[in-house]
Amino acid sequence: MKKNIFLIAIIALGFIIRFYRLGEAPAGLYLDEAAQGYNAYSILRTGKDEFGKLFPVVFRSFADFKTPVYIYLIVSLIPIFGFTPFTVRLPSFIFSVLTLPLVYFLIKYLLPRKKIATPLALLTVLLLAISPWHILFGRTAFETNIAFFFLLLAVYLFYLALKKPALLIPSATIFVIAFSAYHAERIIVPLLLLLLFLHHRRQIFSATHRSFTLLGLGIGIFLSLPTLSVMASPGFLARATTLNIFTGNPSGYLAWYHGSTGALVNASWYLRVKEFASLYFSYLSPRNLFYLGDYNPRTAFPDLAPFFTWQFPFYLFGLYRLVKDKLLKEFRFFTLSLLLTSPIPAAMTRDPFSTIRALPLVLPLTIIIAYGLIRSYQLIRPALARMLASIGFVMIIIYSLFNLASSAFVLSEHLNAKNWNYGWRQVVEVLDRLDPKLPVVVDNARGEIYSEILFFTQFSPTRYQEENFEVPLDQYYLNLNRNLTKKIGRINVRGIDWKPDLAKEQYLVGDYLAISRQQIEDNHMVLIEEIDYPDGSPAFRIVKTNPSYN
Amino acid sequence: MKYLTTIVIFLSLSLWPLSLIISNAYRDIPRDFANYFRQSILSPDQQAPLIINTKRSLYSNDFLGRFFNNKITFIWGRFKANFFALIDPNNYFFGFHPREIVRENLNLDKFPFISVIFLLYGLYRLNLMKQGRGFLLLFFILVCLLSLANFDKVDFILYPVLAVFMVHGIGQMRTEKPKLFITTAFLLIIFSIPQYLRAFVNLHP
Repeated sequence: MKKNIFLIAIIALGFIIRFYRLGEAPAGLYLDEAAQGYNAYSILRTGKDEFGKLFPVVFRSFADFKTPVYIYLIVSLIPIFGFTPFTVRLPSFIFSVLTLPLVYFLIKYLLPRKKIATPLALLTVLLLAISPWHILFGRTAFETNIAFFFLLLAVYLFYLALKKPALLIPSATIFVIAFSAYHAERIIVPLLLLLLFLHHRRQIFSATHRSFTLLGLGIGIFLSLPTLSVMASPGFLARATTLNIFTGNPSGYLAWYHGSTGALVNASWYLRVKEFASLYFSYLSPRNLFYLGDYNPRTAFPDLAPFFTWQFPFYLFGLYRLVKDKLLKEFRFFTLSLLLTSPIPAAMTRDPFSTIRALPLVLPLTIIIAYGLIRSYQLIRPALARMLASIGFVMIIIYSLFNLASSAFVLSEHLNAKNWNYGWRQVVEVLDRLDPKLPVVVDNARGEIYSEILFFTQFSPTRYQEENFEVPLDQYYLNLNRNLTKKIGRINVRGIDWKPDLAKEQYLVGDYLAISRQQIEDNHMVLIEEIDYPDGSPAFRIVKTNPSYN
Repeated sequence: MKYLTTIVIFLSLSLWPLSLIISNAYRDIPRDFANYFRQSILSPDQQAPLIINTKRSLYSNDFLGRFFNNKITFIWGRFKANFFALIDPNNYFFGFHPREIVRENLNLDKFPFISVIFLLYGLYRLNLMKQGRGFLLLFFILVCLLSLANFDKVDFILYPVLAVFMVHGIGQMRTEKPKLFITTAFLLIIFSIPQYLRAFVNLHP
């Protein structure tokens, strides 16, 4: 009973942290979020995405392809919650919160009848509930969070299936959902499955399980076919090709060196293996986990690493104890398997440390820290010292919550608004008040912002599909040609062409670089409105041209 | 096996001193030691008050603004930057991240990267090492001291401690996991060829 109250309280805490100002913080809506939201809206209204493709397997989006699960989840939520940033981020929130009890039950299952099972499960859930890494992806529309939930659910069902073989079928189905939900899972899922199969080969191929295993495999492969069928297409591989470390000159290649030992000094096999190993270790490095964090301002809170600094000693101790304590059996196997497989997809890309691609790593690391905390607590013998340690722990959790709030709701709002494409809602609100007969040109020289306009104007998907063309639908997955000019009713999204654009009476919208104060003055334009970022710096300027002067 | 062990130890431990000698960086070590605390984490920074005050101004609650943004948090941030760099395996085995240029010395490959396996095995078998905990404690004390200032080049002081762990790992692996030892040794020899050759090439012409 007591443990249930603790679990509910922790989940409630996780719920509140993730729900507070959901849709408002981070301020703004990133263009990928806007694109996902609008494509979901388009599917809901027409059954087709913005390019007119009927129920795509993967979604064409800018020069990239988005995985489908998140978008189809938004489709189901729009009729209930409306077409707002809140709804776009809601699937992340829901699955982030659902991950908390799932982790509890998974750890309890992996540690049956162990004295530490309940405290360890509760502590892990608590640390995950307040984890900056997990919270960030629970408040923003990133597919990785959904994939992570389905990955854990599939693993949990796999373990349950060891006793109830029929559960291998839903486990296989959910593994396929995880596989389709995010790019990193396309590597993690097969690797983890392979490890689970090897570890439990006797049981899953025993007489009681064999038929379910084969059926599950068959269903899994069948359900994966749509995703597998487009995986070899240039469109699908486009992003992987540009990001991976195995194309182009490897890091450390000395182009200027032409000495007699050049073949060895610039040996590709050496440089690539080293780069991969370096990236792999960087995902386990305390420097990245407890200090630097992700360099991308959208996937990190300001001044806050993926884990709190105070957790560092427990990470080291927990890792040491986990490797040493052989009695932990399945718990140890699962934690180490996830720990060692999760960084692989991320380590194959050029970014030094990407929390988005390595999200499944958050669980084994949190488990390790929780285990380190519990083993440290067990070393304390005197009752008074234990009491003081408990009080200290509660205080440090409170401090961590304040630190999180400070970073996520104060600093991030002011320092990261630009990175979250803040200001487009305000731009659309201003445009709605202006003369509807005049055309509008929105400058897209520094970003593909048409999705923002589509999202905030809630533009008719049918009309958008009719008025815009990028590639023939039979080349949807193959042809990566782009059409950067978009027509959204009276709004044209394209680069401003000053001479002809000034000769026509219309509104121009651009950032502070596209439309400077000097340009406004020199060309006798009328400044309609300047929209500022929360830190007071100018984000966008909306002006009206004055053809009589040009 | 004995010769192989000698080769493994030699290859694992020679790279850092060799790199310092070839790059002439060893000459800077005594000077850097002498100037060590001049570049301390306590030294004044003209930008610091500006950064602190800008952040403080964002809070609606003045106490919270001051609590999370003050001189102590600023200095603590500098300490953490040094501390976590010094305990980062990438610092010693990969010259940090391959595309990250930090400082000249930090981008040295200090040990062949395959040798990280021996270091990890040595730490895994720390309980079998005489004075193992003492060495670990010594490592962290030295790291804390070095974190008080710019540790560039001075961090060579950690070389003996890391070498002890690595030699312990090599010895233990050879005894307990001979097949793994031979495989790792083979990989070390293969990958050391380009890695050592690169030590002789001026990487920044």
